[in-house]
Amino acid sequence: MIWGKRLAALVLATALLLPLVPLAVWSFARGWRFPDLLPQAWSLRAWAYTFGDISGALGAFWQTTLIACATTVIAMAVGVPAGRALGLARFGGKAMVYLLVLAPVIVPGIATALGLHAVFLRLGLTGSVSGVVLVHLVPVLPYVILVSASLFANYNLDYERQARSLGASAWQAFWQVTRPQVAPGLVVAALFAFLVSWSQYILTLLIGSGQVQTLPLLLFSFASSGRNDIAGALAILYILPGILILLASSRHLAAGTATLGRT
Amino acid sequence: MTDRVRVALLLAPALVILGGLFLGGLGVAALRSFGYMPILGLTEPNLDAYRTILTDTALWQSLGLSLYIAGTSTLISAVLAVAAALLIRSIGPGRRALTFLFQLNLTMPHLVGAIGVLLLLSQSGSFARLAFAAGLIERPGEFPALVYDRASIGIIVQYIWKELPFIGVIVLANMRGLGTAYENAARSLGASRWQAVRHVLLPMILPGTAAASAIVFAFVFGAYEIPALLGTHFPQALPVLAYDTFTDPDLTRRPEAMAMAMLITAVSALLIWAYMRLLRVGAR
Amino acid sequence: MTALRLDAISKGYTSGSTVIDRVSLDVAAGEIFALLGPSGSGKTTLVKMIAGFEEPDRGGIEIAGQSCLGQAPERRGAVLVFQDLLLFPHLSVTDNIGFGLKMRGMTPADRSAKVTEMIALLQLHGLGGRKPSELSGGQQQRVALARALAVSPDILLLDEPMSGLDQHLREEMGQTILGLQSRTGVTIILITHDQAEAATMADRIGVLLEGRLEQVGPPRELYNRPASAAVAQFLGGRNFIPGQVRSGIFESGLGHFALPETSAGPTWSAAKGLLTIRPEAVRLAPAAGMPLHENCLSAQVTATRFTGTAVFVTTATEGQSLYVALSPQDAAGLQPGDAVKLHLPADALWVVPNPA
Repeated sequence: MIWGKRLAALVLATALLLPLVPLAVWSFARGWRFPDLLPQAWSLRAWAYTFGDISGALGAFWQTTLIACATTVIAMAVGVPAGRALGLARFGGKAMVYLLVLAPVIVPGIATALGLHAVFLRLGLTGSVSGVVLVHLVPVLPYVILVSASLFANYNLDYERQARSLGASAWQAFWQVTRPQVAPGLVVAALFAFLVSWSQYILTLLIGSGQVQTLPLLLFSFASSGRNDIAGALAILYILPGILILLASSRHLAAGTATLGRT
Repeated sequence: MTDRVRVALLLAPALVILGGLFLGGLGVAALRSFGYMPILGLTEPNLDAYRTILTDTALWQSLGLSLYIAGTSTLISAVLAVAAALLIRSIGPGRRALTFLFQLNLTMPHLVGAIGVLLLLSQSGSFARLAFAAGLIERPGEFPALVYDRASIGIIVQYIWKELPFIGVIVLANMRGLGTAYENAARSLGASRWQAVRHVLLPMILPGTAAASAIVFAFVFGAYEIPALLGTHFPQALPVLAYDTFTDPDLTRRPEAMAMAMLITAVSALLIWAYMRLLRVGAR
Repeated sequence: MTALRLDAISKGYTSGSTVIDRVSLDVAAGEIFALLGPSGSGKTTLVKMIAGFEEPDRGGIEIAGQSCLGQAPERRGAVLVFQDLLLFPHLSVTDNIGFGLKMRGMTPADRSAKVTEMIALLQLHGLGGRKPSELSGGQQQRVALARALAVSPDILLLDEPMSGLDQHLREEMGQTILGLQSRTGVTIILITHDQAEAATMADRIGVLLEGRLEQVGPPRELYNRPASAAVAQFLGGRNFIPGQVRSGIFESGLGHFALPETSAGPTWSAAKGLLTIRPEAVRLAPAAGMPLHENCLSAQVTATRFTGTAVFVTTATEGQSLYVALSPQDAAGLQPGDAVKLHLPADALWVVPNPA
């Protein structure tokens, strides 16, 4: 029985890691033709190309980072207050607000983006980084609102009342008492919001009109053109921020945060 | 400042942005799907686009394919996720490592998994090479087509790889929240270990699992890049068909793309309804 | 001097139900006042209005002679110590105690003197660097008190301060609060549902029932001279004999009872009333052991219940139940079915209006 479970756990772990293995091997391969089980030769050529000027990978990396950072900052700035209201306050129409926040999580981005494309085209936002940031808000903002709402729903507002009773103003009570208590959760929310933006493909493709080159767009084109070695190196580069973020936040990673960690 | 004003001020910026982008985007797509484009002088709404796409067998095949991919991926992911969560819960050493792998998987973009699956399953991929080494095949072409295939095996494998941990993490959190008290109560009433799981634990985690599955179904149904990379050229998954129609050099086909977007939205509206119902039941 | 004055304050909810109904109250400076009531009586709403978290619909609130209607909680001289204590988990004991002073813009140097004083006052030596999670329940309670007292409030509002503590810590905390009051002279308003806690701690008790302040007075007065059957019941009174008062005599179906001469309360003239006596004031003797004289009656034991420190004896006479609390020694050998005599001493009798 116990050996059966261990075997099952081993199979599960292997399956979770398996798709990453050929990516890593390909990135160091120099020629790896069928039916060889291992590359004929090892090389850093794909990596050199990736970090070189011609591939555009570094530019795409920074472009993706910039877009994800800008999206996250905006989403946090407007999403955390909304999450506080949704998590703590009772008000009429709350179900409607919840529906409006939940709907973009479920309605596929392509449906919204096709309509937005027409509007953005008129506003001159297609093909621009700011247009891409705006369209990334569609999945990222609801994520931030829902995660911070669940954070605040588990927070006892009497802490603020106690602080007020001791002489703190409303703002002081929030900044000195609530903020430090919710900060770890909000940092994790921000990091995962970054990842949600970081992973967007079709929204960037549609609104960026091919002029805003992000890492997933580059990765897709190398993968579909059969450049497995470069795709491997790009894929590793692409998953790196996620791994770092997970390592940084695993201690604070509440289940609730992970549940919405759609990337 | 009254509480109501405070709440309104806290919500307003987010709702304006979200309402503008999400409802605005959907609204414009809806208008265009009815052929309403004042800029081209088209101000008479009509159902031409819907008529065109709904009489095209390609659309029905795409819709069927997308529902098949989403349904199969979701069902297998959910069943395996519950099994995996039960497994993780019951093993001592290795529990943390497996939980970490689940979380690690959540950070991975779908595209990376898709490329990994491509390199594993294609006819010249790692499994084909292993089959050759084992003497099972002599040429790549003899290896069964698992990507770009009619059954969409590669696409489904990729989604299971990605969505099993997603549902699994939710199920694990759900189980942790319930604790063992209910199962212990069942055991003391005479239930076996498996009976306690079957008749007490599983029914209690079902609403949360189903709600997570609704999210997964909607995502898979509407995702573009995975079927675009691993799918056949015909039939195409519905989002791929919508994108290709949208980018068709013939601009008059755009209302058709918008009508497809509306179709995708309609399916996901059903899923929102299911999700909210499930969680209300789940809230107890 | 009056520390707190409530002037006919009322509060209802939008649903129309009244939570607080015309409550008026004066609490003197330096007093320990217990606001006693069962859960749902409106205690919490009342204390939130005093602390400034809710506003009354009508009526006035004065703290230290100043009206504080519409005043933000942080500007009021009344500090509320919440039942859950709510020590800020991210701050050390020292920073928790100094929190209110920091909010008032006090420099760290000035703060530390006051914090040191509070640490000494509440015997928290050596705990200043700890986080709340590293403290025992009793220590957390003392830090919460120190934090509230550090800002030198006019009034300290303690919401069920002993509810989370086990029995021996309760007594210790009671002593701590009494000691604090005598050393600092702060006015304390204690919110509790526990009559014993209110009786042992407070100078005066206000009984709040269904949003109304039914009676205010020193503990003994409340126990011995309740204003209503409801107050008597809430304070453990169980003996109520219907009848009427006529020239100093209570006439009932069980006979006539002489009433105390000294205290002529307002209810005495009421024709109909309930005669009440606390179970511990009733004397019980074997049927043959006591001559049947004034204020005596015969009864039969129907049940006995041992509670550890006392025995509750239920007796019946002429269809009326009477309850007697005896010491375990006095109750030794008493069995259901025994015939007994009950003596209801005149000075322990009291008449309340009959609500029926």
